[in-house]
Amino acid sequence: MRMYHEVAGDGGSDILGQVGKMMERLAGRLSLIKSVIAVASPKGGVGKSTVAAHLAASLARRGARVGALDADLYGSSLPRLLAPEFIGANATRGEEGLFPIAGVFGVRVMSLDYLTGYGARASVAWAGAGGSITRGPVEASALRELLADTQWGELDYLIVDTPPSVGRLGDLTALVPSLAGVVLVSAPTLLAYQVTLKSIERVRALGVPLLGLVENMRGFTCDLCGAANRINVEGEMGETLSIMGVPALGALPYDQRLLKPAGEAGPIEAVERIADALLAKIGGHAAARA
Amino acid sequence: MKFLCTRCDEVMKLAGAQAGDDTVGLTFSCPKCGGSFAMLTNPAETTLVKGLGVQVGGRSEPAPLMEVIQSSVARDTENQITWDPGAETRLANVPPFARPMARKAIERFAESKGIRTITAAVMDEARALM
Ligand SMILES: Nc1ncnc2c1ncn2[C@@H]1O[C@H](COP(=O)(O)OP(=O)(O)OP(=O)(O)O)[C@@H](O)[C@H]1O
Ligand SMILES: [Mg+2]
Ligand SMILES: [Zn+2]
Repeated sequence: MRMYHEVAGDGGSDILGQVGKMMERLAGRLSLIKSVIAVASPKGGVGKSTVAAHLAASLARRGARVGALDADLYGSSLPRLLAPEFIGANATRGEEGLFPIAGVFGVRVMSLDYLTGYGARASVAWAGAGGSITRGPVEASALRELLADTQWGELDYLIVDTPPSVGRLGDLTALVPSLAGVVLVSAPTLLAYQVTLKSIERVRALGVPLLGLVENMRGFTCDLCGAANRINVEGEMGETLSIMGVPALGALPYDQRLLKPAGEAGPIEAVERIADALLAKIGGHAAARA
Repeated sequence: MKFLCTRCDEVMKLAGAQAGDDTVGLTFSCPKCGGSFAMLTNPAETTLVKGLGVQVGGRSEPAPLMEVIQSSVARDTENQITWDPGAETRLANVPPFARPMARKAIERFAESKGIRTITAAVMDEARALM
């Protein structure tokens, strides 16, 4: 009997051809987007979504065409941070794709929330048998479809907010080989920095540029006396990271304005500085348009 | 996956595909001896293949937009309608034994009108018709 490699073709479903078509559609969509930037962290709750949303808003305010993709399928936050007026909205279907929701400063937002029909009321649940075995492929496909089947149009930047853990960042880099890079976010705790340090090898192994680290919630200004307080990080891990070749993109203080939907409180200086650093890093085409 | 006819060492040809709710039936036949068999996928296999975004038996048309998402999201038909706090308060005035019935009746009314959120005003509207 002949073995697998001695038999030409496949079982008749032309799976490779189908996959090729999928990737073609995705490539077509991405060809209109100049830079795709992922915001990631191995740790949860450190401010990825906050950074992603405020960066997107900042770049859009400067006149860039910006998209924001919520790749945190079970914890989507961008709808609230970037398009608070459209909570619960469903994306409308065009010929070429689903239209993103128009958020602050025209940021084009896409999230599973706009597709499930139960929107912001519950995070997505998947139907079908197979449980954990089938979940992985569905998640990867969902990410691919959010990228490929959204009518982003021409964009200068597509900011992707990712779920905690860098374990599946590979799903994104496989889909977007041209990824401009990853922005890492960390909170000022020893544990967060240690886990961030551990994740660096993982991110580097993906072969994508590590654009830098945002040190979030690094300090706060006292409302009463105006003193700038530093939240201590036992030994300045931010500096350790920079010794390891992870550039600093900047720091964000603990700031009440960052709790609001992006852009609502006007430009925030620390955010603007990080946006500047990011643009300098990727060759910033947005600055030119502003 | 490739299929060989063990009698002829010949590649079996895909002869047809039939899709059920959570299963797919594929028939293959041998171009040489005409022998044929069917492969029936179980629900988990079906979900897995669907999750990959490919169609067994091949595709003649481009994949629909957001196909995997749309076909994989669990629809929560029971919870399509929400009650706002004002409406919940009003419902609390209904005697406990009648509450579930009242809730269902108002939800049915809302559903017939395509209303997603039940407010006190929606309850008034419903009551006017009852
Ligand atoms: N610099 C900051 N100042 C004040 N509040 C902040 C700041 N950064 C983040 N927060 C708040 O901290 C919480 C966590 O932030 P966020 O949701 O952005 O983190 P995340 O890393 O995206 O979380 P997850 O891992 O769940 O996706 C949010 O309530 C957010 O508003
Ligand atoms: Mg988040
Ligand atoms: Zn045969």
